[in-house]
Amino acid sequence: MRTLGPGSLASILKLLLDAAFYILWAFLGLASLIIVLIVFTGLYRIAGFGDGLPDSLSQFLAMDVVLALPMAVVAIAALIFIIDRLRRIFKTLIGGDPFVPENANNLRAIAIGIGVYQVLQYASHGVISLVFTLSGQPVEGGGRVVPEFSLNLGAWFAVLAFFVLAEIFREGARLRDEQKYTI
Amino acid sequence: MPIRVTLDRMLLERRMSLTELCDRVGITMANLSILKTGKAKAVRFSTLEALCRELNCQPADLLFFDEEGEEDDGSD
Repeated sequence: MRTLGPGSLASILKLLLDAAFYILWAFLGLASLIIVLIVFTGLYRIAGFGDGLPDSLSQFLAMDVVLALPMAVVAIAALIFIIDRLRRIFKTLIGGDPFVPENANNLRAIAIGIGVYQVLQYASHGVISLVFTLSGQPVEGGGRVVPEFSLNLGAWFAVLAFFVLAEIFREGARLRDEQKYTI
Repeated sequence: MPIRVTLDRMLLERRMSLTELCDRVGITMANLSILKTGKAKAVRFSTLEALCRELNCQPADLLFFDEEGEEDDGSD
């Protein structure tokens, strides 16, 4: 299989990354729009203007999914950050020069991004548990809903692997630079 | 880097141009410029041998250790 050019694995990965990047931006835009809507409806209710909101809109804004939106926005932002760094790495690969110090920084940023994403997940789990504790656990199908906690060791191994790869890239870039300036 | 290449002085003493040295040693002008401007990270023994032969000098005549020179942190 070809490394670069049309039909190569790199071109397929680039296509996937580009698609994921723009889809995530669309999701982020939509989620942000709904959050703005929630804020304005909250203000609308507090101010007590008019006859109140239409029932369908009130029902939609009271859904559990909508309540989780602020967490989702932060998670999507973290994913966009990670994918953006991966796209930058791919740009250098397609340019024919991936062993540059910038890519070591990009890999390190991805490791930090995954770590932050995981910590945010733990934080959101904590917030949801707190909300459940304060407002009472919701009941679905006769059983109480308990938020599930997962340490997700795979993600932390990915963080470790990206940190190691970043250092390998840094050393690779240094050796390449040394080779380039060896006369 | 604290190691300085004194190619400038050697060329001046021998009244030789950089282009002429390029032709005689068989190194491109770009590479010799890197060496002359102190951007080089390393010098091959074969390059040093060719330079010493054409300039009729010793390796020590081409290299100079400057203690006050900037340390190479490997980041550039």
